[in-house]
Amino acid sequence: MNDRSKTSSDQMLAEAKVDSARNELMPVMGGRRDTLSLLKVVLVGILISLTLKIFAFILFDRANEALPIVDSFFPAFFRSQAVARVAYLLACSGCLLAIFVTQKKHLVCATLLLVVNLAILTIHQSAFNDVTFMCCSWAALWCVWVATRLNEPFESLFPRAVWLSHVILSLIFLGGAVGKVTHGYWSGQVLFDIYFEQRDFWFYNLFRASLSPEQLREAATWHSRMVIISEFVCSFLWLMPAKIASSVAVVVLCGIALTNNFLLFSVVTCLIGLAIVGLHQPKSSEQERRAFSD
Amino acid sequence: MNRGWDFLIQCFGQRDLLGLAVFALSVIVAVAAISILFSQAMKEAALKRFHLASDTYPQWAVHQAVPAMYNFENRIKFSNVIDKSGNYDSDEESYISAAVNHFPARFITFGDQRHVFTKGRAGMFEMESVFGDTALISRWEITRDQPNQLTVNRVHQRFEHRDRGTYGKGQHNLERRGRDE
Repeated sequence: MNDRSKTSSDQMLAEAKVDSARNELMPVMGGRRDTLSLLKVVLVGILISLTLKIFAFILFDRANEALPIVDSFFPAFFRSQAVARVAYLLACSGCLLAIFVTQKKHLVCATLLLVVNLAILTIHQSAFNDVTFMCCSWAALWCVWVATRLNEPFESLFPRAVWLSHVILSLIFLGGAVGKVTHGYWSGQVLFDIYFEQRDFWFYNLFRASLSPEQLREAATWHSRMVIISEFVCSFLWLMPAKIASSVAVVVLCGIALTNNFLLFSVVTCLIGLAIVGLHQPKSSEQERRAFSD
Repeated sequence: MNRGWDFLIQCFGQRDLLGLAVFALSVIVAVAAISILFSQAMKEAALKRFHLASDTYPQWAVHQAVPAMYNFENRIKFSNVIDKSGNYDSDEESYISAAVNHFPARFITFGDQRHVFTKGRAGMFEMESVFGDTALISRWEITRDQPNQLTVNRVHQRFEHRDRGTYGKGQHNLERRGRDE
């Protein structure tokens, strides 16, 4: 009897030790540490995108304040500069808050605050054209979803989180590719007019400096076709193996900003954050395995 | 494809309704994006979206979920001189014609670009967006009814059938300013 109770108490003690070690390694249970790190990578990407926008935002805020424009197409709420200002500040605050909180309900609230205010900016008269807000909205929607799944085991959530991030990235590339299936883009005339002819940027300056006018026009054609094809390839990221899809997306997104306009980093950084999700190496389970085998 | 099946199976297994909803939304938006290749109605709706000319504001707002970076062949014209017949004098000092990457209406609605183009004065603004064989041309009059306010008045809008390969003919890209994002 005594032996049996001793064995039972030893087992309980051993289990308590294991639990204590697990809690020390993962203060939040069920792989939440990994889920949180995934989420925070994307949130940091969104915050960088929004922060890079701040000077442009202040500029158009002042311009709209000094000389407002009334377009009756927009309801008064979505014309108001105060609404745009508050939405931008709340989106930044929501993002910042979401980076620092770890409680599920707080994270859900903060990411919801982020996505709602980004959606307002996406349909606001003075900000609708800014693709940064549209891309951030899609990335933020992914964050809301992950925040609601915080208590799910990381092993089952991770592949879904990666695939959904690739679906969203594919969608954004698809939207860009489809609208270019038109003669002006295939012939290269559109990009020639917008970029090759006059744009003062290292990539186009290099082309102009080293090519004759005829060669420049030819280069615009092939560059434009390369853009269309690469966007179509990237609209199939969801079909590719996860790590390849993420690597391709990161390279293409960085390429867009590096060869067209550094300001485009405000658009692509949140998407790079989404792409990095697929390159994530889960740490908790590995650490746990190592700790218990030692 | 396996990743997609695994996603759906796991979502059902974990009762992850929001995950399924985000996926369903992505599919709907992807179908809307692709449909402009096949449906004339969707093509026209997409062009009208770029000119802030959708039938209703809620319809336009829903359409904003569809990514549209660098879509269509867009050009704008602006002059501080308003000609009621819609003709532009290209020799006029304030006349500007430019190729635009997307959302051409931003040259009036977007704060600093409006200042650069209108110079705070009234004017006539024309947008042309072409996708395949369909072109949408919209003309706005920008009036200064109050001392510190401009007002958009939509005066003309028409769809045109275009033969392929007529992009930018007879137009000169005089000046190009503003951000691309």
